[in-house]
Amino acid sequence: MVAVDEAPPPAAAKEKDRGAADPRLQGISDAIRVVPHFPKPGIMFNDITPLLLRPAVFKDAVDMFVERYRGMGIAAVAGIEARGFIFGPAIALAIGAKFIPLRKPKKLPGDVFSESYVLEYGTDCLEMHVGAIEPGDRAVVVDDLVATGGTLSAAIRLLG
Amino acid sequence: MLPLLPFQPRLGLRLPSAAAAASAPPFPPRGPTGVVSVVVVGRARSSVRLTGGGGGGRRRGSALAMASGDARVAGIASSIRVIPDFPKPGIMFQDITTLLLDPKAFRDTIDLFVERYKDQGITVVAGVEARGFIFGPPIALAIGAKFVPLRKPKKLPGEVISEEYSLEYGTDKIEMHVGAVEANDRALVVDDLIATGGTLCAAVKLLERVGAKVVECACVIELPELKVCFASNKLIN
Repeated sequence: MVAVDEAPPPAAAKEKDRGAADPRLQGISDAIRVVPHFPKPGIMFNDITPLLLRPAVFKDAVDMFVERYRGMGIAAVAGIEARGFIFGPAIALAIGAKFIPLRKPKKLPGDVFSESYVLEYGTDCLEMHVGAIEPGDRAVVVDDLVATGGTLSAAIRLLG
Repeated sequence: MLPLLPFQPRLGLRLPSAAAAASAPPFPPRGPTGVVSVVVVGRARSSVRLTGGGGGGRRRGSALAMASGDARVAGIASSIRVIPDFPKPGIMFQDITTLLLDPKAFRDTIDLFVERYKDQGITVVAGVEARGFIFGPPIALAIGAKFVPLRKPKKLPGEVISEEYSLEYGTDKIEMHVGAVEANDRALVVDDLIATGGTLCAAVKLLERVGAKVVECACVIELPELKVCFASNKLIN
């Protein structure tokens, strides 16, 4: 019903094993800060906020996605609350797509679809407005980071 | 299209000076910080009404309606959806998600802000979680400024400073990373909507505590119950 293409994970992690890497990747990778033991002991948290403090690097990151998706007939960019809201809209604006926020429960007013997903302990839920996506829309889902892929999978199910 | 007004805050929100400044290093005296919005919601009806500021039933000295004669504003205003009784009975919720589904309206909204701020030497755009994260970064990218997320408690990793503010019942808090904003940064605060101004005031205080100059607060929508969150409880024109 809806063609969904997952946005690639942080480029540096995936691309560095390939041949001639895009020169922008180094700056992007360097701008990500690792904060140990957040939100709990043992977790090495990848913090993108320093990237946002470097306008040229932030722009490079967005440009890399825009270059990938422009010309693919993408109708909608769906961003996952909250850090997906930082990257998604800029991509949507550049490729002329609508932006769809995918939110935690009870944040979106009006009629919503809801999709639950599994956490390490317990479950969580992602919501999308009814009518935001239409059958046949080609969509991209954006977030700052993919770990297990649980949240992104829920997003794909919501859109589909 | 009417020329944009020359850049100067028409509205002053005078911030409480004593508590916030007590522990801060000495900075040049703060002037009032203005608030602008693209769309001003009419008091008489729940539908969106455009205004050039002042006049009719509107209270004088309300937030400046930016570029009210611009042809793009009507399209932006009509793309915003009102949801009654959300999040609770009696509240007419101004929903910008329908604006985001309209690429032209979204583009126009960002352009209006970018046109206003691009020559103002803004070095940082601070966006209030979560809908400020949607509008702030595209503005920051277009004007070459840093983007700083202002978040609910415990979301930002590492060292933060926080500012508490009042709700109708109880208090809430916003946080900012230590070191994200520096003394003499020129800042713009962005959110989707201003109601009482409580959250924005907290954001301005946070930025001023680290020595930034908050040039203006920019919102897509202003509600008529815009109040003031500062000691004198007066709007200064």
